[in-house]
Amino acid sequence: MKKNTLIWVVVIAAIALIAVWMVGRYNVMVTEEENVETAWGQVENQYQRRTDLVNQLVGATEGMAIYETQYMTDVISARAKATQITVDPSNITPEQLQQFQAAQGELSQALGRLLVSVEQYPELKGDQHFMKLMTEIEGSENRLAVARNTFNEQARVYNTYIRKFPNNIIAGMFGFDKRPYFEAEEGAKKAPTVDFKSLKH
Amino acid sequence: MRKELLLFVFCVTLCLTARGAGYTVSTLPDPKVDCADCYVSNPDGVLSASAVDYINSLSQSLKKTSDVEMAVVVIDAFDEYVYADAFSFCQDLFNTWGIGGAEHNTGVLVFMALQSRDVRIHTGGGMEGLLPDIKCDEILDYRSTYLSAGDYDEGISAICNDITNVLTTDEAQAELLLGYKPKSTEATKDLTIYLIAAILAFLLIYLFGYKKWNDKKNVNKQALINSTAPVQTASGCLTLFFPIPMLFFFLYFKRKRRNIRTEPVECEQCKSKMRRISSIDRFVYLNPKQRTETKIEAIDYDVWVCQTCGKVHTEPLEGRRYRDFSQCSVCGAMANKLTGTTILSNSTYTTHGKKKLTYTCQYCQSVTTSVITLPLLVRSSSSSSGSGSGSGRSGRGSSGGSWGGGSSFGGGAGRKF
Repeated sequence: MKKNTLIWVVVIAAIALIAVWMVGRYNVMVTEEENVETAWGQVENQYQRRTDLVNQLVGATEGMAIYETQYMTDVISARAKATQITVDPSNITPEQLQQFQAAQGELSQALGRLLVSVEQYPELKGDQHFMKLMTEIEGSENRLAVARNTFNEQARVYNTYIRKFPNNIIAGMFGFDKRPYFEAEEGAKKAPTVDFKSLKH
Repeated sequence: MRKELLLFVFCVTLCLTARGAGYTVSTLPDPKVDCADCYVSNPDGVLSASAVDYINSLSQSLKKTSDVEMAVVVIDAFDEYVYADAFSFCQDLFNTWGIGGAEHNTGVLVFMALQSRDVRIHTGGGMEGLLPDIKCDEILDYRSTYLSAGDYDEGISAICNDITNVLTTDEAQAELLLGYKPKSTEATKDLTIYLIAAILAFLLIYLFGYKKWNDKKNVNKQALINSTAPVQTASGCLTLFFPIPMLFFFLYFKRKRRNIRTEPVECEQCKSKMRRISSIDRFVYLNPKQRTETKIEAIDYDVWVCQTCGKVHTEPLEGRRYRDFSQCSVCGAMANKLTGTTILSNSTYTTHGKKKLTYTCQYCQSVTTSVITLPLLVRSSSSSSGSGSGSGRSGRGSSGGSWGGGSSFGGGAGRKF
């Protein structure tokens, strides 16, 4: 009788300990997942902010000489493409993220070319409103870089946590999935691309 | 020989120039390390001492009135192999140092690098409303004329002054001091640890105390009482931390231990219940030796008397001062008390010393002695005479400070001058 009670107490205590331990791990996962989501929210905010700024920019330049150029046409078409792609934050696949990033990256590049071309249009350099918008867009690009880095950092922390043993068991039980990363496009954009095929000739 | 020497000199210069190519965030001196009230990192001496003092005074007043930290970094160059541009250097530096209050990210970094002709105002996450990129760009646009002319003291001071002016208007102050949200504490983790500790404590007390009581094989009353004394004390102490389970244990043990002493004993002769004699009356039933032992509190005797046949049964229990006494080798009473120690020879680093202990029996008054060997002396590795030497450094450390832990999301504006 007494021995039975002891066994029961030990079993219940062991179950309680395991439960407490699992609850702890589970809660850390929820927190980390929430951090990834928050970081993604920041990324979306910053993209939205840039889209708004581009809309203003397009409005401000209507009727000006630059509006008719290829630079502006590129920006407008890239914006249209970028706004079409929306991503569900709780369910991002690497392919979706890559698509999203490609579309947004195209807009970045179009804006970059526009920024450089401004030198050719003295009337624009004198336009206060336009120059302010360009400063804002530049700041927006900076913030985007930071937001993407933060997202990657959070996603890395979360992915590492859920993939470690024995956390992966709990993650599997409750459906915590690995999150994709942003590819490093900044560095790739800066390095000059050399076409080796053309060099051979 | 000369050729090799030249080659060596060339290599050394190459290494030095490569190393001196510019600062990284980790090699840049942090002004907060040496002095809590310093905000300017000016390792290459680009700014004059008076300009540094002026900027420090501006930053100090900002820090005092609102939780804003304005850091100023003026260097010759940053390492262009590590950082693509001034922005990425500033962003890394800002978050590594943690400029500004952590709660609202109220930090501003003013940065200038001479070689790349970069000047930048980098804002913390909470400052983007008061110092939008446009505002920063305006300030830089307006003040970069000083910098282009090479008047760095005036240029940087003016930029810092402009920032201070923006941040000290009444509206800005009101916004900066607006409702500080109380930080939500991570109580769940502490609670988990507490619960685990409570379960462990419960299990330990259960195994060492409760189980022992209810073990039917354990019939030795005396041993039972003695061995559960520490468990009762332990559960009493633990009541402070885990009131609910431990108070139950404590009261349970207290009751049990009292009850077991007063529980009627069966007479060995006639098998009838015996009566316990009260603590004052029991002396009549004790022999002189037992009386002494009771008086000096070495042993506490419980006396039982059979009501039918008159048999007396004494039950010895550990007294309150049981540990102060040992058994006398002459009369056998538990009354040998340590009454004196004499050191016969001191220990050295190589030979053991000897000490004589004198015991006197409180009952038969016989004196016994025993000699014990003392441990060798041990050379201590640190001499205590030099204890004052460490204070200089800690004194210096205490005057240092740290940044508030704020972070930036990449706000601000920069330009070439």
